[in-house]
Amino acid sequence: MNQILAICFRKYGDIFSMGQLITSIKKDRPISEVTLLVYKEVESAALLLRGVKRVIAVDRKKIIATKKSPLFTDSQSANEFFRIIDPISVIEWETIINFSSDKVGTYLSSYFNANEKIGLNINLDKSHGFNNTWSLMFNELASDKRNHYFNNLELQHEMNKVDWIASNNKIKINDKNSQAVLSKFTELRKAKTSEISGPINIVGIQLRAGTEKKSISLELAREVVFSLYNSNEIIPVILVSPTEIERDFASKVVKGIGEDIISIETDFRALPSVLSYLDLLITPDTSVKHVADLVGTPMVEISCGDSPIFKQATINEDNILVRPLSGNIQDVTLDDVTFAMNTMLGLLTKFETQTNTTFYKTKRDKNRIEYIPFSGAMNVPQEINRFFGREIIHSLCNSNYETDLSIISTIFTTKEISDYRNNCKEEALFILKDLLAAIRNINSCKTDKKQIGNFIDSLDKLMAHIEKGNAMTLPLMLFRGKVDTIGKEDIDESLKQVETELFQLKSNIKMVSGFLDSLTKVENRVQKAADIRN
Amino acid sequence: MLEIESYSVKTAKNGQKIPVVNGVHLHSIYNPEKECESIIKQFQEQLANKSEILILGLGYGYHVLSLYSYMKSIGHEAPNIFVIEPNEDVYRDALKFNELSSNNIKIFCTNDVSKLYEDKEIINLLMRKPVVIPHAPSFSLYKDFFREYLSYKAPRSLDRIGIKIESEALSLYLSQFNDEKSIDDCFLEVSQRTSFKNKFDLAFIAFSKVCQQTERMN
Repeated sequence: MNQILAICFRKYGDIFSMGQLITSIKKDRPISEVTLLVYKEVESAALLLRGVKRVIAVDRKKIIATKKSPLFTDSQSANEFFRIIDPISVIEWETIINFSSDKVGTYLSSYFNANEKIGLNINLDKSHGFNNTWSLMFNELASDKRNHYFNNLELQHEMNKVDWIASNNKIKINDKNSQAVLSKFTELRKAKTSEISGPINIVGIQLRAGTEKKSISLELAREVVFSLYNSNEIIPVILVSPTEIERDFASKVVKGIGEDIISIETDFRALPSVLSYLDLLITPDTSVKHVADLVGTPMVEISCGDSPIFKQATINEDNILVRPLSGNIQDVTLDDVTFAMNTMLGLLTKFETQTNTTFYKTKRDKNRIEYIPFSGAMNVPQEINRFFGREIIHSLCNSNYETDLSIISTIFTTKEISDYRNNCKEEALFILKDLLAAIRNINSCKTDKKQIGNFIDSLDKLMAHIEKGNAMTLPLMLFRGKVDTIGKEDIDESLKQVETELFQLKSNIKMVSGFLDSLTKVENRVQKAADIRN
Repeated sequence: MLEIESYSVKTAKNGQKIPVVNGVHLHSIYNPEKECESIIKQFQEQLANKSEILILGLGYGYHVLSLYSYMKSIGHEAPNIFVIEPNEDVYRDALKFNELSSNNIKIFCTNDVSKLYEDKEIINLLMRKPVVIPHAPSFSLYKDFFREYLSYKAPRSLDRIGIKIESEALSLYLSQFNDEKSIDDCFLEVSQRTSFKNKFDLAFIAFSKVCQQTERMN
């Protein structure tokens, strides 16, 4: 029996998000046993995931409280921590997955014994270790707050070398709860169908998220609920977690609209049952969204706030992601939500209002999740950059990869592609100039160690390009990650390895510049299609 | 140190036994059971919201039993009451005169404050933030002991805490450091190394990273 340890020291959303990866791993390695190492606060969520043999929990709060209190000796916190860690450390794991890639998880993953370790690890010389280039890129992209080329799960599947398994059976569902929900929803549908003919859709609305910036505003929530309440085809159901804040908010939302609007208060154990019987869920970026993905609930995700949108976005095919260009929830309108919802329910196909919001549809092809902008306003350079960047990353991580830029040709105009390409060309020239300076300086270091300062300055100048966020800088991110894997004890040896990586960077920049030529072909194809249309 | 000069047992007007320590009556000489009313009045709101109580001072436990009954009466199905009593004679007679042996009433008798903070049950209780109720006569009589308990600062140096470390691997690991250092000193020393010395450094740094977190998960 292969023993797999997956470490995730993050919140509910990440725990549920892990459900997809575990499903894929279990399909790939059916006789393996998966153990999760999580914080105690999220243990109940981890226990709900299918395919998990056992959950080991670190009582983080207790460790922190005993460590910080002057009343207790540090032996208390140490005993609490190592009581959990020591037994894990004596097991020879087949695979350890550093899913959360946070500091605690990374150090522990590095400490435990395994034949194979997935994700970031720290070596004794403090250099970084990765199982493959995908893992390295995952770590680098995590620090990029502006660009989000991939959904994290897409990267996790590549890191783990497993195929994506589509299934709506990734979380345990309580039969008794499901019966109760089905019976209630049937009752609701019957009551409504007595008024009108035609199909009735039960639409769940999750209002609150972890932060105010992500949550649906009271004003918008009231507008949406009012609109749905007065619809002939829809029964709105408000989802509420068992907290005072959510209860209060829900009662403010329905106040004066309709006394009979249903609010369902559920904890995580009952939530999968409710979600699995909804025709649609409208939700901000919450852990509820991740549970809905695990049971396959069709979804409109309203993505606002500072978090990168695609890294944790909904993963299921044909869901809709709504994102205002400003990222500000105040800029999402009732029309935006209605359009997305009606599109999902097949009630409307034409968009008739002006908006500053982008509407994305999720498309999945094997391990790839594409978020395709299909309506609304769009930040064109950013979107082309995302699609182009995805192809670059695939090529950097897989030497046999054949780039496919066709998706760009289906969305953007010749001029948009050409403007972007010219911008990239310019950026590539600047990078190349600074790269050559760095190579010259590292050569000087070989004979004169005093030149190391100059070399470091030129390296800093080169790496500063990453801040610009252009996809042309992705080879630089790969280079930065690789430099972090180089041991620092022997300077001569380190310099030699950095030099090798600089030449590899040069060849990667050349390769990526070659993709710009492919963009020219895409432009030609788009132009040809436009000519035929005209 | 407790200074017990005299200890005797008296009988209250209602026939119940009461302890007298250094001339101080630890319960009412009229009706010991009734004393609890003022405690309930003072802590009513907190008692409604929490089902765990830490009482400082046992006496013969009349207030403990009354509080237990009160907690049940307001809907706490299984209230847990913990009592700290520093006087062994009083503790022994309390068990003799009253039925205090219940799964829901736990009495800790020691006059060594540091031992209380080593007891896992007490640590877990304090983590859950119980309602802390001083039994006024006991608290006043043993004020030095209870003050020490409430203002206690645990020792930090490895020579004082080393023996209490349960993990053999950690114990062995910490033996490389100077005895006078604290765990925090060791965290700093290991994190400042240009490279790690052995694999256990990684587990130790992981422990330090948990300790550095705030209570709210980031």
